[in-house]
Amino acid sequence: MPQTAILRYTVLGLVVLAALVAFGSWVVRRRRVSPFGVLGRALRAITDPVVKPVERRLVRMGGNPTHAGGWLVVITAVAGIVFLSLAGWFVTTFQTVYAAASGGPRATFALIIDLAYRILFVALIVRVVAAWFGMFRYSRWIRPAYILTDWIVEPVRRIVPLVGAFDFSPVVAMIVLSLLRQILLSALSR
Amino acid sequence: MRLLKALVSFIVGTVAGALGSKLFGPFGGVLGFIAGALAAWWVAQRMAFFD
Repeated sequence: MPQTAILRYTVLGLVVLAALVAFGSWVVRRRRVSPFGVLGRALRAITDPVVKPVERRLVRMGGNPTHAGGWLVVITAVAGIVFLSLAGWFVTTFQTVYAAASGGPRATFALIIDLAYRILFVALIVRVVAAWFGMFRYSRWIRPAYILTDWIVEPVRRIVPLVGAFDFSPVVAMIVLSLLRQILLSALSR
Repeated sequence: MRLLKALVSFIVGTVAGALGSKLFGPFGGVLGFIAGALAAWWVAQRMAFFD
């Protein structure tokens, strides 16, 4: 069984476990099981250490403490997806770097071009999505995306006009970047 | 709370969809997702999980 499958099943197991903990906490809370009986006490002893921290944080954020179990499931699933994505990214990057290192200087240059393209592409997407939420260059978190992409977006903006309220310059910048990458990669492969 | 119910239904639907896709292929995946999400929503509603 490949490692990724093991990781995926582990995350699935953790989500199912979180759902069971949430259910256990819920049955005691709603008095479906007496909290003072043997089963109720056992369930509280198992579920409280997991659910209580979520509940405290939820109350601090102004949420309803009875929703702690549900949020525990959601948080576990989201954290699992992020973990799987990061693990996949690490494995792919390691394989790519390894292949480039054993392929000589041309492969290394190709890797550098590809990595630069990916970083700029992600920065452009961050820039566009952040603008939808009203975060622009003066936001502390979004500023790096602007610094990375201004050199290509600003000249494109001078050429591409606004269409109503829509600014297509980041999309055009993406196309230009993709073309540039293709040209550089094909020049390297000759 | 609709947001929480929707998120939990989405997670259950995703798990059911993965199972359905493994057993019956892509159509099984889609059907599994819809059935799982609807079942989770219905159970949450009926048992008043998030009320």
